[in-house]
Amino acid sequence: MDKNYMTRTEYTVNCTNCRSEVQIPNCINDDFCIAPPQPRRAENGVLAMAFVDMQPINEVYPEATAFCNGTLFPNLNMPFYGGGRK
Amino acid sequence: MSRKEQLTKIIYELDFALHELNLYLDTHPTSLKAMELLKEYRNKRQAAVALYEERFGKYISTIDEVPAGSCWKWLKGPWPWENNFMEEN
Repeated sequence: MDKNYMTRTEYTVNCTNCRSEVQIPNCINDDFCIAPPQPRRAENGVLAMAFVDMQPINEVYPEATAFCNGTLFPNLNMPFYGGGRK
Repeated sequence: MSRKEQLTKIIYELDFALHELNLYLDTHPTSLKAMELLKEYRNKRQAAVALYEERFGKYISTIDEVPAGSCWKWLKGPWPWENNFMEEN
């Protein structure tokens, strides 16, 4: 695996696989540690921030369809089809 | 599907729509459109329940309204899951 795919900044973090000091970009236990060098984590630990918009009420399903779809609102009707890369 | 089941299904659908609107109004208390829809569904439901009760007696009978005839009829009625809503659509 190309070790220096990251920029050549030298810093150490704990390797999440073998807990040893990891000199980024490569782990000091190169011979047995299989963990890829960990990407740098945001210092303040904020991973993500969700934003959900206020739901508009443009149109609604007729009662029978709403009952079968499990929602009255077409903009909330998101059945999960799954699958992924096949 | 008997007339009774048809009416029950309609009432269930209207109950569901009303419940959805209730959730929507919780977060959008000033939405005029939702309020309009709520009134509409409420009238429809009252009409459907009135139709049901004309022919089949109380739709939701509380303990003091159930006719205390010779025997307690609750066990004779269909179980909640005994409906064939899904068969025909």
